[in-house]
Amino acid sequence: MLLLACSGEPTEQVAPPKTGPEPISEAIVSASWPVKVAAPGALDALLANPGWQSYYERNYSGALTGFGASGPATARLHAEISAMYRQAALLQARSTIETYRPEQLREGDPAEVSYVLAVAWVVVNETEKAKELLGKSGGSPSKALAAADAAWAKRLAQPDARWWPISNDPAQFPLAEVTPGVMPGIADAPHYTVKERPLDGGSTPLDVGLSDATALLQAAMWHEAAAAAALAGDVSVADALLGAWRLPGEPLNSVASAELKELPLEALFMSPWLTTADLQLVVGLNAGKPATEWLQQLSGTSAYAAVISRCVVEQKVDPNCLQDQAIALSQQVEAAMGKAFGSAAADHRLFAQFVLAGTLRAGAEVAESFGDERGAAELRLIARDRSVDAAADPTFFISIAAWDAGQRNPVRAQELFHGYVDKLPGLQAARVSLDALNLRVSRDAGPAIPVH
Amino acid sequence: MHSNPHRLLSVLGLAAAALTTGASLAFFEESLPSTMNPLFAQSMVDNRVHELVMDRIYFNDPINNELVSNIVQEWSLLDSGKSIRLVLRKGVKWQDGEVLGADDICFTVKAMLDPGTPSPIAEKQRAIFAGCTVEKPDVAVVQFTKVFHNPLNRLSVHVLPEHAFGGKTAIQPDHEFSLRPVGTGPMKGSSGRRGTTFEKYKNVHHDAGIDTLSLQEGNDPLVQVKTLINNGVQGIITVPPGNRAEVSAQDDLALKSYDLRSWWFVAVNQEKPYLKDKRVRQALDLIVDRTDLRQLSIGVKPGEQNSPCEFISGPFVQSSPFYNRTVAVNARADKAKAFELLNAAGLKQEGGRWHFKNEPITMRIGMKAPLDIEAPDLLSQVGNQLSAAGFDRQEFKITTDDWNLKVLTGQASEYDLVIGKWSFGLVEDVNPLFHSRKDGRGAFNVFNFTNPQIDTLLAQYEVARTDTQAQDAYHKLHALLAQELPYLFLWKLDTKSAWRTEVRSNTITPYYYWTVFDKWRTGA
Repeated sequence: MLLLACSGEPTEQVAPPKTGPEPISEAIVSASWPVKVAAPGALDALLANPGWQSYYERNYSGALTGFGASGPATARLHAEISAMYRQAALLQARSTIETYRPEQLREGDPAEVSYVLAVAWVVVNETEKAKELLGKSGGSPSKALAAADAAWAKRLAQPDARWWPISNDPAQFPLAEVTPGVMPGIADAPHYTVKERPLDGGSTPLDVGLSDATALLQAAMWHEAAAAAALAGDVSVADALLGAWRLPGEPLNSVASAELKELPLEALFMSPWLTTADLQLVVGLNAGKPATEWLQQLSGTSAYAAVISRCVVEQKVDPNCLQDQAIALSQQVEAAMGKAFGSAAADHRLFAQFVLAGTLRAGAEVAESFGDERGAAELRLIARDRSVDAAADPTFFISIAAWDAGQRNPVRAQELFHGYVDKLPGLQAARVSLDALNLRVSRDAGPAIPVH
Repeated sequence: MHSNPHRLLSVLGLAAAALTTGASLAFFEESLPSTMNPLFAQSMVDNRVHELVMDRIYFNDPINNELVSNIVQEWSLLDSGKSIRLVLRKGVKWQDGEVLGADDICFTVKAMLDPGTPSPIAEKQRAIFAGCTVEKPDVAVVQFTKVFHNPLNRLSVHVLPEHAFGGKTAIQPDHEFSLRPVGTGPMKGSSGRRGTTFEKYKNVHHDAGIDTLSLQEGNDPLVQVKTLINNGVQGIITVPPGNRAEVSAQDDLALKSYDLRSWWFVAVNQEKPYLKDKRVRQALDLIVDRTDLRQLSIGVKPGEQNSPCEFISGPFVQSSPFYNRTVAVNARADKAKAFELLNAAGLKQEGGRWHFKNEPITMRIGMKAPLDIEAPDLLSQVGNQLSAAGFDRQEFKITTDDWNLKVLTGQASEYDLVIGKWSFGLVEDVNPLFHSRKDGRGAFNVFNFTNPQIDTLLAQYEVARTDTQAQDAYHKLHALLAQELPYLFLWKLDTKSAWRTEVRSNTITPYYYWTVFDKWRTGA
């Protein structure tokens, strides 16, 4: 499928939105990226850069080549890639924790799982648990793993140690110098091969492949730095876009106050966030803003805040109400696109899908902020089904997989992650850990037979 | 200036459908259920309907995967974990008004342990359960064969009513229960010739938001989608990939993911003299052009991104940890190599047709009939490819009944090839498909394939003590099956349902589908 500008001849009459929930302010809708790019000539101007076609196809290397070494599109892409590596690291960490935490250990598990478990605890900001496990694998026949264990032990022994500064330690998967517009290679997984512990009864211990979340963390940091470098050190785009995807305990940096600079069109185009205010809604929730007040504060500028507010009942987001609102909003935006262009066009429907998915995703963040984790998960699953075609966002899907892994639900996680494992170098590392969880959970389940 | 030749979606397609009124739903299934007794479930249709009528002791919540029970109030481990004491929730009734008791839990366990119950799933459960005793009318103690990690996970069995079977634990598939089941689930089911109906049964633990549910057998997928658009039904369980765009284009419809692991195959009857030599099976594997088949049947163009249909080279989906990613798939045909193999195996091509011992070979190809909905014309396309390579062929659609009675029982010797699909959930135990038929093993070994090396690997999987041992056994199995080819492995096809948007809170449980049906509602 090609992404083509709709600046050709008008196609069909603009249809009014169906009767449904009350429309939101036209001013908010007019400020959204779908309506902006629907203006005659606007999409042509964007698509003059071939990077967008690659981006539409989720060909990230091709998009980087197209966007070049600088500019907001390059910064946005590096930030997105950084977010994807973060969610993959989270998926890997949660898989590892659910496989190897003490109550889930099994006979035969290699002694070295203590090291990968330690790194997993680092990723989820449980540094003390990590420290307890580090330094125990120095005697491993895997010299690489022993060195990595020592490197993390040393790193966490520093005062206020965290994972986020890029490490140049040779045992911690260092990458080449940060260069915007480039996709660095990442070490192939599994990173280490170790032996099972010998079993009573004397069967030959088999080799076990382990992967280290450090590699994905390093990649995440590298691309974040590249995003800033693409804008000559301006971190506003990277911080804003990563604000929705930071790992537990990680600082929000320049957007900690939830004050976002107005983002350029290139940072929002084909994203779930219609305006900077929509992203601000989510970033603010991550920064700890109380949801009710935050929704109210942004209802005049954020389409999502406006419609989600209508569906909040007793500190919960009603999923049925929000689906209705999301559909109505997407129709309103689509109609506004038609009005801006002068007629309806197929690309308008394509872009309206971002609205539907984005509303539901923002609703999930609000539910989470209310402490309704199950309600948030339900909304994310609905958003998953509504994220079709170009609105199918790999980072979002991997984040659901990461959540599922934390719930010991590997089947859905595998299905979600499998489609994206080859999208970026090194993501295979997360699959190694997810496979291990899948094996463990499935072997704990009751028997089942094939059915036709 | 670009014009836009790609009209991807109709603009604001409006369905003139009436809104659903009342709490009734109708939906299209792949076929009618073959049994309402969960011990004898053979198809995904069976598995799904059992979830409406029966309760499993424990199940996983489809949203957060929490292990929960509707019928157990509390549990505790006994005998250092080798037994589990279950206190039942009070007031739970069977759909005939009888009270659910500990005797029903123990009856269920004992029925599975009874060797007179000819159920493949019961056979598997015998490795898990050792017995059960009724401590009090509402307290059952279930004994395991050993101490298991996370023992509650082993209790995902449907509970059967002791009184419906007169206490006889040797349960037969033709018992009346298979047609008129009595469960404790949210809906009371009744099978008919043209469909299955379900009526709400209010209970202390179930209060479904839908009063009646009607299962209808789906046929032409286009008709199914049109009927859905016109609100003649409110849902379709399986929407073929070729019809998904039309569903997506409708504001009143929504596609929903249905997570299960399904893969398609062509089983090869190696009991036929000309198929005994594995070089002939390997040749067939090279004659089948999966890329063309997928395009012609599923509608996936070569190189298409995010295809719902992914080729496989062994008996697992590619996202599975058991899939051996070092075994390449044959995406394209290689007739030259195939013909070399056929000649080496002693087949001769005369007049463009392949002969064995001077007799022309005619392939009798069967396919489970309902699969034609999901993969239209697949049977004909496979036949066409074989014909183009020089094999005469005859094609047959096999009814679900014949599939159950003949194909699955290894009595379909009249066919050379049969096309089918297997589905799995969390557990991907393929031993019943490839183990030699003996001692209760190989229960679904379609053409009675037998290979001692394969049996050894399957045994290694079964007795594996570590995850790595299990994975290693199945990786080796995958590699060996790709050589021996009792099946030509085709593809994994993802599954999507479609529901009208006025159907609310319709969470689909991976594999089981209807697990949280209580919450489903209708209304604009």
